[in-house]
Parts: sequence; C-alpha cells; structure tokens
Amino acid sequence: MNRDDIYAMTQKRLRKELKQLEKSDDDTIYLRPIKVGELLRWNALLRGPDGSPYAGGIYGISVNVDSTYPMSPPTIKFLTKIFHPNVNYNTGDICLDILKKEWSPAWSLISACRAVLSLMDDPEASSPLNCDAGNLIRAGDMTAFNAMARMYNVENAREFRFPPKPKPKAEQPQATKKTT
Amino acid sequence: MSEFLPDPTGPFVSDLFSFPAHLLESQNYATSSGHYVAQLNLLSQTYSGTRTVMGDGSCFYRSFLYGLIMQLADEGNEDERVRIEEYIKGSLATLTSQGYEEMIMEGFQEELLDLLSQIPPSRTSDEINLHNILIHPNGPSQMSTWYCRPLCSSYIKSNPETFKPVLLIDYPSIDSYCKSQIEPSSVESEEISIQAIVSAFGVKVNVEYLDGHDGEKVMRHVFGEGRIEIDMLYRPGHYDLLYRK
Repeated sequence: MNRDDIYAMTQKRLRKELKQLEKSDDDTIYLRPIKVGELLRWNALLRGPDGSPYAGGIYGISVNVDSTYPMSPPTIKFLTKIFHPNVNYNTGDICLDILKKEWSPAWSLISACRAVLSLMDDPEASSPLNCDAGNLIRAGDMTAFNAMARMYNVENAREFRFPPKPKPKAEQPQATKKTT
Repeated sequence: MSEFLPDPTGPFVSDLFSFPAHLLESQNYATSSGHYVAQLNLLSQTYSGTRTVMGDGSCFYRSFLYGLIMQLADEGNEDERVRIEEYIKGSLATLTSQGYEEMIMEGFQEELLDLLSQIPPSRTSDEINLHNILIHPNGPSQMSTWYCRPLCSSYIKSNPETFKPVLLIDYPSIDSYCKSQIEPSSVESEEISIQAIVSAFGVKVNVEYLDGHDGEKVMRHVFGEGRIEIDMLYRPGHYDLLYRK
C-alpha cells in the first residue's frame, strides 16, 4: 500500500457519486467536476430557494476535496457574492457545522450542497461571518435583511444558468428523492 | 482533566509496551497530585501490557476494532470470526432499510470485509503482518473504524425501547443523537455508544477507569457479553488497550 491507495478510495467514492448525479434530475442543484475526469475539484449551481430573498437567483459554489475525502469534509465556498449571515461576503467562506466538526463520511457532496441550500433558506444569525447581515436578523429587522439580500441577489446572482435538461426518455420511473 | 494528553499524531495503535512502565514514562503521573501511580500499581496485578491508541476522537472504536480483529485471529475463535463476518455482510441491508444511502455505506462495508478477509488462519504465524495492516494509514482500517459508528447507530435504531428513555432526555430524537453524537468522526464515544457497539457485535469490553481519585481501588465497567473480551484503560478523555498477564 502507498500514498495512492487512499486516493484510490477517494476516487472510487467520487466516481460513484458522479454516476448517481448523472442519473438524478434534481433541478435545484447542478453539481459536476470542473474538468472531466478530474474528481477533486467541482462546481455547483444552487437555485435560490423560493420564499427566501435569494429566490430567482442562481448561486455558484466551489466544492473541493482532497485525498482524505470522505473522511474529511469538502471545502465549499460561494463564488457568487451573497448577503447572508453565515457567508463571508468577500471570500465566500461558509460557516456550517457539517462542513466542520459535524462532518461525517455518511454525507456526500450533493448532500453537503443540500445543506448549503437549506442554510440559505434558514440563516443562523448566532454565528455570523457577515456581521451586518447577522445584526439585522438579531435585531429582528427582517424587512431590512430581506431587502439587502434581495438587492445583492438581483445584482450578483443573475449570471449563471442551469444547463438545459436532456430530453426525457419515454416514461422514466419516478425517482424518489432521498434526504440523507 | 486533560493534563494527560493522548497522542493525536502517533500510529493508530502502538507496539506492545510493558504496563504500567510505559505509561509512567510517557505521562507525568509520577509528579501528579492524583492517585494515578497507586492505581496503576493496582492494575499491574492484572495487566502486564498496553498498546496506546491515537487520540483523534476515534480511540474507542479503534481500540475496539483492533482488539477484536486480533482476537479473531486466535485459534479457537473461528466460530466468532464466521459469526462477525456474517453480521457485517448483513449490516448493509439493515442500514439501507434505516435510511442510510447504500451507495455510500457499501464502500465502508467493503473495507471492513476486506480487513476481515485478511485475518490469517493463525495469529501466531502472522501477528506482525496483521498489526501492520491494522495500523496502515491508507489501509482498510481507517474506513472500517468509521463503519463501526453507523453500526452503532443502526443497533440503537433497531432497539429503540432500550435507548429511548436515556436519549430523549437530551436529544429530540434518536436520529439526531446518532447524527450528531455518533457518526461524526471527531466525536468521542460515550457510555451509550459503547453499550450499543458491544451489543451489536456480541463482544465484551472491560474498561478500567484510571481517574486518580482513590489509591485503593480502580473502577471497572463491564459492557456487553461475549466470548471475545477486550480490555481497555480509560484515562479521562481517552482509551488505550490493556493486556492481561
């Protein structure tokens, strides 16, 4: 055994994840490796959740892993600038427990993306990386918070488009959505 | 209680050292105000060896798996080996039925089955080789060690009546307990998870509590029942393996 073996385990797992993604018809997250055949660097597009101030926007995030994945979490950052208490506006860094000490290898890249999406829907004002956003929510001024977040949404999150869906083959069985 | 720190960088499991000489040398027990030396002397009536285990949050699971696999190589434990292998083979279906993703879990199950398949027919011939497989940083033991965690969750979920009364005091649901207190690789095991893992495997674990409180006795906690017995030393916050005289 040598250094490459853990990488082989990582590759094996990531190949499985990619295969599953290629079969999925999730229209809220589009997650793929940046370069075909290179499985350590991924990007994803997230559709801003309806009912949140990010609705109508499409947010790019980078999802990077190293050869210790899935024992350690991916590093996820926003590429699109977003006004959110748990995201650093300038660097895109995200404060999310499952990407740090609560990570478990039972999570996958897509379930980590789903967790980011639910963080957009449900901000956690007590651990802010963006103090302005956190302060507005903690002061209970949701009108101001939503207005700011929506303004940045319109300004920054209109650049990306979801790739067109492949034409559905006749009568595909309904895919059951799994939440991990 | 963290004045005696485990090593977070060393090998997964150390070579066999003399007990308690090794611990007296590597930790500051001699100069401590607690009754550690007296307790170590008491324990030395029963135990003569120790293996120290990496302190990265998985020391209990690592000690457990190491102790188990080594004993499965003993002559006379073939039945146990077959039994454990059958249990691991069936575990994926149980996990999947409990909502774990098959695609993710099977990778870990394969590693543990691989590890079990590498147990030599007799430990006497190949103990060092097996030890080296178990401590290899890129070998199957890392993923196998983690797989003990969902097995632990799975046992709790299959036996909710046993665990609910204790768990629901502090956690909203069994699922949230498993997700936050068992499955993350950095979370130490505690009595509930130890109880679950020994029951899941059908193995007995004896834990000697080196707490420095009383120089005339050492508390021993016994978990589970089974033909295989694994002895461990608990210093607050950390588990190591013990070997009898």
